[in-house]
Amino acid sequence: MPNWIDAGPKDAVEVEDVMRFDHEGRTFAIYRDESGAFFASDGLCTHEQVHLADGFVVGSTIECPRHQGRFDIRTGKAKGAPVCIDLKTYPVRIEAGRLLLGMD
Amino acid sequence: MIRAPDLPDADAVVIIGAGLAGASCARALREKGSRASITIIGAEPHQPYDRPPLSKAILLGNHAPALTILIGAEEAQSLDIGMQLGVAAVRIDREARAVILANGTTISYRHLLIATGARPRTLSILAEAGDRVQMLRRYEDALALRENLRDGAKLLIIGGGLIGLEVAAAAVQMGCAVTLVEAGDRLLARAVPQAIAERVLVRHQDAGVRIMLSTIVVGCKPHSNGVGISLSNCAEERFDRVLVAIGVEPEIALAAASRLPVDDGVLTGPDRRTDDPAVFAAGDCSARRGPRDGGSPRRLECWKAALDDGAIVARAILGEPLEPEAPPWFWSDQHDWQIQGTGHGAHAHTLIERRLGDDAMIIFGLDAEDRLVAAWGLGQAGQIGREIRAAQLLIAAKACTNGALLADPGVRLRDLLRQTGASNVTAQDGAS
Repeated sequence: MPNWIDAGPKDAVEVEDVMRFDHEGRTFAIYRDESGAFFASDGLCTHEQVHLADGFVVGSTIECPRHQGRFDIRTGKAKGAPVCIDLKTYPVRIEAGRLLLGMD
Repeated sequence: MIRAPDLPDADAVVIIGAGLAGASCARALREKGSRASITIIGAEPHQPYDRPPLSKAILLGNHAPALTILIGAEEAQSLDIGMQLGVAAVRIDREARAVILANGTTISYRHLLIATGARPRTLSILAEAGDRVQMLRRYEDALALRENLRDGAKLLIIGGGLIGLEVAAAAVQMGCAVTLVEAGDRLLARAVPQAIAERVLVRHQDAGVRIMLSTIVVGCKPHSNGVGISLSNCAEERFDRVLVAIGVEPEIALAAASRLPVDDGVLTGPDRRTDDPAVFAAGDCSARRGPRDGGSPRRLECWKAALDDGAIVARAILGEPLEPEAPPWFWSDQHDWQIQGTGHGAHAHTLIERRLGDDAMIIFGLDAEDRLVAAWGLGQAGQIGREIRAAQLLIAAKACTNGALLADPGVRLRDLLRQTGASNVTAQDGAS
């Protein structure tokens, strides 16, 4: 059963965009893909630990700003060189206009 | 599926070169469901590996250095990609559609990809200098450099391009005394505009790199305790190690010997096909023919071009239609910051600066019709990466832009992208 943490108002993340969220020493990236759906992952790129909140969202893909490594926002799957390790993802719920991040 | 090695394969793909372009092509073919036999021939005795870490992480790593493998032995087996490693291809027989290897083996092909890369240019004046002078292209070169760069070692780097500067950054971090000389009057003459080159020079100097522009080597003399180098502007100086980083030449000998047209690279059309429809060329060894009305062939030397080329060749082999090509993009990691660039700087008529604070900046290049054609960034990846990526998409969309909007750091490029309706331009995935 995940521990749901308030991550701020849902309107803080635009469609096809990403936001950084920090909580108790951990850092996350919260995304909105082209359909407007919300997703979340660990915040640091699995390649060289750059923060993905500074990255670029195209459709349902997040691209790391350092080497354009691509991950699928919805599954965390690494989509090819230079990234090969998948991102850990977390569930996101919306309640009363707030984002809730499901931490383990 | 067991493939009997002697049965000719009607669709056999042979790839000469076990670098990024070759590995990318092989992987893309399998990801697209091709069951053709694929053989990669590599002169180096390694699984296909990635070169960017050779000038950075391999030098700096505290732990034992390791290759960044692109296709490992296990994966090659599960993907059914044949590897002939540590053996050079010596001839291409285009009549017989076969590649002959140095060990006498002949491999037949239906489709051939020449992905032989490039070799470092040498300085004839250093020919007698002995083994304290080296270049950096292969894994063994990086190991040798790492072995010899210790605290206080005096390193001379010849060449103020991206590789020279990356090694300078790593060596200074390793505690070496680094001198970098560049023949031209500025660093990075090809890669970035002057304003960025000037800031890069200052950043390296601040980190302790001694940089001399408009300077060449005029003499060289090996000694027992180092190599004596005479530079054009000062007396002989003793160095422990010299790195020649003055650029590369495309490996075109095999192609030229088989009478394929070559210039500064094996010449291809936009689908990376040579004049022989069965033969492709990709990566550092290849050059795109210029437009019919003039313009010289274009050869790119960046990682992304090799990755994308491999996928383009896979699509062409499978008869898929040619897709619009993403503008070129490169990065360089130096110290704890980056340079990134995208587009074709040579087409830029006007340069617009966007200051990002902290000495970070983006420079945009517009052509005579105010279309964005290039962009470069200097700073932290987090500051510049997203903007350069948005610029890449704007360039692909041939978007006309307003210089004032580009210059304003408050304007988000992704908003400009949305306005042009260009955000649905597909990213050039390696294999999607």
